[in-house]
Amino acid sequence: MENLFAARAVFGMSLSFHIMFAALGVVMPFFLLLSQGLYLRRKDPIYLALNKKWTTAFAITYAIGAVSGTVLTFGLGLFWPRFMDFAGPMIGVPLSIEVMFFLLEAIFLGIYLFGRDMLSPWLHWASAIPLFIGGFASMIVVILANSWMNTPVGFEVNEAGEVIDVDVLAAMFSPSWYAETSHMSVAAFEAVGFAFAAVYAFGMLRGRRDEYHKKGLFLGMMVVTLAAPLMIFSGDHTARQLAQNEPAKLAAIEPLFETQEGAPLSIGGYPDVEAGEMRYDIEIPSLLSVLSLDDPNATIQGLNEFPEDERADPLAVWWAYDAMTGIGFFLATLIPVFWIFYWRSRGVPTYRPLLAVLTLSGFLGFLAILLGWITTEEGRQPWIAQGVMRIEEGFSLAPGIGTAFIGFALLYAFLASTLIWLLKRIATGAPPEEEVEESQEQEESEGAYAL
Amino acid sequence: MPFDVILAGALGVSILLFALAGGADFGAGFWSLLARRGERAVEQQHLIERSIGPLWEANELWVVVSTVILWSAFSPAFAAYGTALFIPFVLAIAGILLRGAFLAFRIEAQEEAPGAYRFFGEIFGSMSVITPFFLGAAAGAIASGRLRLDENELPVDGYFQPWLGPFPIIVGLLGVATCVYLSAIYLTLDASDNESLQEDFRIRGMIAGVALGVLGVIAIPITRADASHMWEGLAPGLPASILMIAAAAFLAASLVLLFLRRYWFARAAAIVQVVAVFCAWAVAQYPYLLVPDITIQDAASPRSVLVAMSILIVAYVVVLGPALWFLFRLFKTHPSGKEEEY
Repeated sequence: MENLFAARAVFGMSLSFHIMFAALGVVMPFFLLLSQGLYLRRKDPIYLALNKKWTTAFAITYAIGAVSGTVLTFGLGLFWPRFMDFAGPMIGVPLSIEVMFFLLEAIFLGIYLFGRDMLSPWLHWASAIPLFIGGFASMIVVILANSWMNTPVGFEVNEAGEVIDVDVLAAMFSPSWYAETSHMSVAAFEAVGFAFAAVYAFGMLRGRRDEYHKKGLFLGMMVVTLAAPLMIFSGDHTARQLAQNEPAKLAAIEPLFETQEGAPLSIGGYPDVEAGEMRYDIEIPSLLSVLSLDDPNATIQGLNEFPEDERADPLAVWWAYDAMTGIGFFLATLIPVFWIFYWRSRGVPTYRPLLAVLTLSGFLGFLAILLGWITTEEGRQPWIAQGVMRIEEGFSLAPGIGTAFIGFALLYAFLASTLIWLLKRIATGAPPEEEVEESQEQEESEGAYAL
Repeated sequence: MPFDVILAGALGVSILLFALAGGADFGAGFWSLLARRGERAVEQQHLIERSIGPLWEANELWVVVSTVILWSAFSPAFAAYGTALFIPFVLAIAGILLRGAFLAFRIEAQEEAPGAYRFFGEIFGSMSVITPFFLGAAAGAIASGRLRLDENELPVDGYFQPWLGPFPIIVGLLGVATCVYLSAIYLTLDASDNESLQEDFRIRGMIAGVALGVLGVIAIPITRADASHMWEGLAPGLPASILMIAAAAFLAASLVLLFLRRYWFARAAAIVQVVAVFCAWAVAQYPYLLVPDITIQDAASPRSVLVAMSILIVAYVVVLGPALWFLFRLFKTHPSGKEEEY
């Protein structure tokens, strides 16, 4: 049992660490394209200053994303060899596609990072397009592998439990694929957008009121404003998908103890698992049925439908799910509030409480991503592949997994603290004067590039 | 040709690319450790950063390609490696994590935090040396026959014995030496704008090449004693033995060419040498993925997966080939020395 706990701990930790850099790796190229595109169009050196700062930060965060991703690919074999032995053929194809796009991103990262002075400005800008495509596509396909774990289909096993045939496309596009990939894509844009806004809101809180900070904050808010409405649709779609394909997970995260017609949506409170009911919650009658199946009288399966040893523990997931949706609604409300202030002050607002809330939102977006993954992973328990393989059948039997957990925990703590220290050194509030000079120089020397 | 053999070949190619590209970047970490004092050391550090900075992430990801081919097409072998060789692989991935992160930290620290530059470099350098050792030792354990599995697919002799033996250790050392040797030779070309730096790495390349040759000779009796399947595969007259002789010849040739300052040819000879050793190994180990318990055929996934993976390999070539060509063209035929002329 100790190995199981250690394997889960090391993977939960590694994935949590990686997912933040992965989200940055997907969305930061978009910000690079945006800021450099604006600079090239409008010749405003502030956009160039932002672009350069973001490029520096991206160089570091991408590197951590890449190496922590390498740890995870090896780690699947090291910590979950029996699961990989079984599931490798099904989830291996999307993961192999993922690595192809990831390599594409790595190649163009090198070109973008070090090619600024070698390529003409527009060609340099264009090299961020495959960078963005690589990051975005690799996120989509890697989530296909996870969605297979939630709704495993597309394979046949013989009596000995060995996989004898695989329908590659069916396994790749399992029923939950669209809900999961769209939900995470939008979440990445929202979280990273708020993180960008937060960096400049924080700078403004500390007294900076220059155009550099205002434009940085503005671009962050533009991106979340585009992402947040999509999030409402995506969240709604995800709930429907759960009701159809993962009823046990829906029952656990809500939690709904008894199967009900016209099931209510409960908000707040806490689940009393022994008594099998929610306490101190606010119930909105029939809303869960409406949200999941479009019918106020629809029947929603409760935990009682599932054998006791095949249920997730509501106590392990309910809080994460509630907190994630709470943050989602809070951030969605913050956006119109920001634009009202923007309209009233005819520009990026400098109202301190608003800036403080925006600073906080930078953390909340990432927190919501982590809570979402806790919801989907804990909500699937005790299965590693829903209905097919239990988690106890998947972990490694090698000794030393506990030690590896402690070692990696220390490593990640060391990396994270060094990274934060270095990023603080970099975030000095760039002097736009440098870029002003440079943008003039660049105009003069146009045509002197290698390509 | 059956798809399982094609994919085993693709697996081999990805490992070889990792050795030639990623391995040399690991070797650069060793040279960075040695560059400690004086003005020349600073120049060497900058050369190393300039040389591997734009490319290291792409170079390193070849090992991830190997991993995904292995688990998609040969998942039982992947599970067996992961379980029995847990210790060397965990140490290797810790090394990969640290060296990559601290290389990126170091490149940015140069301007933003010069005080930490040195410390970051020490971590990058030392981890770059231990990682190829553990990867090599794991490869040695796989080929030696020291790693046997029981009916539950757990290692019969525990978790240390398979890789803590003469053959795995000499392969680990050969791995480190190969990285260091390749790196020195690549760096002579990257230093073409600075004659004294080029001389530094010319001499270091020759020393590393000699060390590699000596280790190779030491490996001969060890292979005979500790890796019998490999030894049989390398018997005189078989294709693998011819490849090995070719490898020795190209190693010697690369040293002579370095001596003559024919750097471009020296690099070509060094690459051919590594390819030859690698092919000899692959031929001698065939058809086993784990000597002597798991063959390619035993471990192969259902046919549909093998077909899909083979199509994907074509996509890899089509998508990544031009991108890599562009990357190398930009940074390897355009040394930043030329920039200063602008």
